[in-house]
Amino acid sequence: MASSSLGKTADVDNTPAVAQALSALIDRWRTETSQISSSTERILHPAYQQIIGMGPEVVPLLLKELRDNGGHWFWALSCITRENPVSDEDEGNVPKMRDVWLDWGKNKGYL
Amino acid sequence: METSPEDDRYNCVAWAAGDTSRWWWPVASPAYWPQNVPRCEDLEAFEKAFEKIGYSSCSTQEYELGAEKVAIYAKEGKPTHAARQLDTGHWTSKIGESIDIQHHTLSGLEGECYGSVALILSRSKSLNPTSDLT
Repeated sequence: MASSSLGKTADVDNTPAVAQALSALIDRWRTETSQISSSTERILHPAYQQIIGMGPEVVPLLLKELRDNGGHWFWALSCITRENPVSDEDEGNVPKMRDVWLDWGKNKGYL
Repeated sequence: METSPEDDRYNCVAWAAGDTSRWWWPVASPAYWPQNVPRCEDLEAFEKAFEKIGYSSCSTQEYELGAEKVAIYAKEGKPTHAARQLDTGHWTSKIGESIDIQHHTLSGLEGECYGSVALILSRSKSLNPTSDLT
């Protein structure tokens, strides 16, 4: 059963349809933004926006994607969860931001 | 010509600034932007960002002995890309999170994706204050 509250993970049902939809959006985003340096253009890309629009149920999947394949999912995670565990001094340090979000995910029980 | 494989830890602006440890962009945090430089997507902010590491506006993209140059591309006044000049007079660019490439001219990357060259900046080769950035 899908959870409607942020932070509750035990009952999150990551159905194949959700995972498949997310995977397709991720692939599209990666393909269509790989040559773009502008963070603004990257996060405003329709696929990225649709990922944000999928809401809390994709948080565990997005964290797993971050863990297994990297990617700049920090803005999406922050928008969906309304949290930002990244310190000012770590902004832009992609490996560090990845570690910080993965630690956040473990602490919340998503990973 | 490809010179380095894809790497999402840094983008074109960072590469132009000599920084391969961070992704630079003024807005859409979390990206790095030099302290006390306006977080605006305009040429003025980009110029100020590079002034922090010793660059200043320059009138020519021609290679000059003893000078390092950076070119900022823009579309409708919004920066889109940055390239850095090599000792050969050719240019090096990081293509988003994709590969680094070397290109003979700046015009080679002008077009639909990056717009056109809008700003040239230069600094003396004896300066290398990237490590002083906070």
